Amino acid sequence: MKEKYNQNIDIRDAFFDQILHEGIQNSNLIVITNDMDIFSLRELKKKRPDQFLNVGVAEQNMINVASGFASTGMKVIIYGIAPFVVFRCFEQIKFNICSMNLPVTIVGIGSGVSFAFDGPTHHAIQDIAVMNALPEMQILNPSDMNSAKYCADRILQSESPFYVRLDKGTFPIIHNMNNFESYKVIKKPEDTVILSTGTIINNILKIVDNESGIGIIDIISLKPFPEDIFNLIKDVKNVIIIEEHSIDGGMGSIFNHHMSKLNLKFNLNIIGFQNKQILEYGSREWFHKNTGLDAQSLKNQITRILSVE
Amino acid sequence: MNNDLKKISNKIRLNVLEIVASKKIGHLGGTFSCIDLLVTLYYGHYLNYSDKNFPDKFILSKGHACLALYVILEDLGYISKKVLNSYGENGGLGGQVDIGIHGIDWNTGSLGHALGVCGGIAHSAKLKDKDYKAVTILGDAECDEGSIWEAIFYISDNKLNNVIAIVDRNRLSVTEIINDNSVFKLLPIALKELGWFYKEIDGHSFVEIKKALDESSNSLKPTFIIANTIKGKGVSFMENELKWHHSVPTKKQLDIAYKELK
Repeated sequence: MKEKYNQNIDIRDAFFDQILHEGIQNSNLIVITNDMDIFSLRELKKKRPDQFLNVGVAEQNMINVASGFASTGMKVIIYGIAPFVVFRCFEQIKFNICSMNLPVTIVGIGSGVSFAFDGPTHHAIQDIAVMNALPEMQILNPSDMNSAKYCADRILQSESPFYVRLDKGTFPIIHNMNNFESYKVIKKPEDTVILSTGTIINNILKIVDNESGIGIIDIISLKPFPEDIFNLIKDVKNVIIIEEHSIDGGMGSIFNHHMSKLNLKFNLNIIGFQNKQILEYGSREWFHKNTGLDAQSLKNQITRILSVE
Repeated sequence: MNNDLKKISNKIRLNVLEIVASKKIGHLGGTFSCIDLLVTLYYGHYLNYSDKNFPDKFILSKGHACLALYVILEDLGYISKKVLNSYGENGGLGGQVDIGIHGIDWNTGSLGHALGVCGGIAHSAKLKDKDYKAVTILGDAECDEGSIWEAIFYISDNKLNNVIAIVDRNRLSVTEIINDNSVFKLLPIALKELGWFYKEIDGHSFVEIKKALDESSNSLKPTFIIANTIKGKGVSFMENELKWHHSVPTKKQLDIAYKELK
């Protein structure tokens, strides 16, 4: 395991550096892509050409081939732009990876609207919803380079199918971690807690001041969902879920499910993308502003929620 | 030997028919069309299971023909009579192939997946320097699936000569006659051009099936066999009739069928 990270490393490389490291040592690991370049994997391709496979722009086949490899005892990691490796080949994932319960990890690159300029085809705002519907699938959503690194650690040590939702670009290091943790408490809650998942947490950190009594928890494992957080928040009145995902089927829905199962009641608010098409083009920040996910809009919404209760 | 295979095929057909008649559910037409292919693979020793760690893998891509496979697996001792008799019962054997059954290598039931999976299995064998192969029987209507074509390209580009694909070319889909449509016009041209060992055979001739499989095992190319078959093969009134995709025979029809198969 590499120990130290340059603050400026891309979150993709934080994850894939671990995969590279493992791949060099373990000839039983293979990485498969639909023609996407990742900086850290260039070394794997060069040093272990047999363990890096570009199947071309053919995602259905990519999943089928991956499951074939995995069935022979290999550890398989697939990556590509999230919508194409999730939606295009959903049945292949459901059937050949999940129903066969094979050790294949699908890394969907580009959380939420991070490929903003490439438009609606490239947004991944329903990916958690569909992956959550698959019984065997586990879902990880790191929010900084450290959590990304340990998500790689987690998938390398497991035989389960995984979906890893991986952002792109550099982000502030917010977590101090020495091993994989399924959630991180950033600020202990009193009356109110914000549950966040993924890099959108950076917009929240801009607006919650230390004196406010609003807690913040970053959820890294969406499935299995860390139910022990309910012990931490059982006396909390307001739960605000903030996610760069559709409000239908994302962490809000997952939380709601667990909350009802445990017979708990909160004043629950879910902030994310509305269930409607986004057909405009613009920057990620512009999308956030238009959909209420930028820091100022989040602040206004939180103030409104807390003033109503 | 060929006479033996023929006898076995008739026995399997009869057994399949008895089960479908008693449970009143099944896909007789497309099951009967591929039985001679299955029998040759399993009883002609074309699937090698001697290496316990790396046995050959077989995937019945047209999962709805599973009953023939289950009858064969029972006959060969992989599953018990009791398991076979659970066919059609709640919680028992169903209408598509299930990995939970001893001797089954892959879940099927949704078309178009198996050839790509075979590509991954076969490619892994090459990387590990192992000898096992991946074999699949596909339906002809299934060849419409784009994922089959993606797999054809992949297997070609990676020169996976340990893949054997056999198409049960019975020329009937669920609702249509499939003559030489674009898919079947293009397949032979594309496969030859892409470096496959391509062979068209009579899928009810054991001599031809065995010859094609023998040639494929010496081939440096991946194998694609179009086996021309008859849907409902073996029972005169079922042959080439669309309705026998999933009809169940009446008592009177059953008597005729038994006579023809015995």
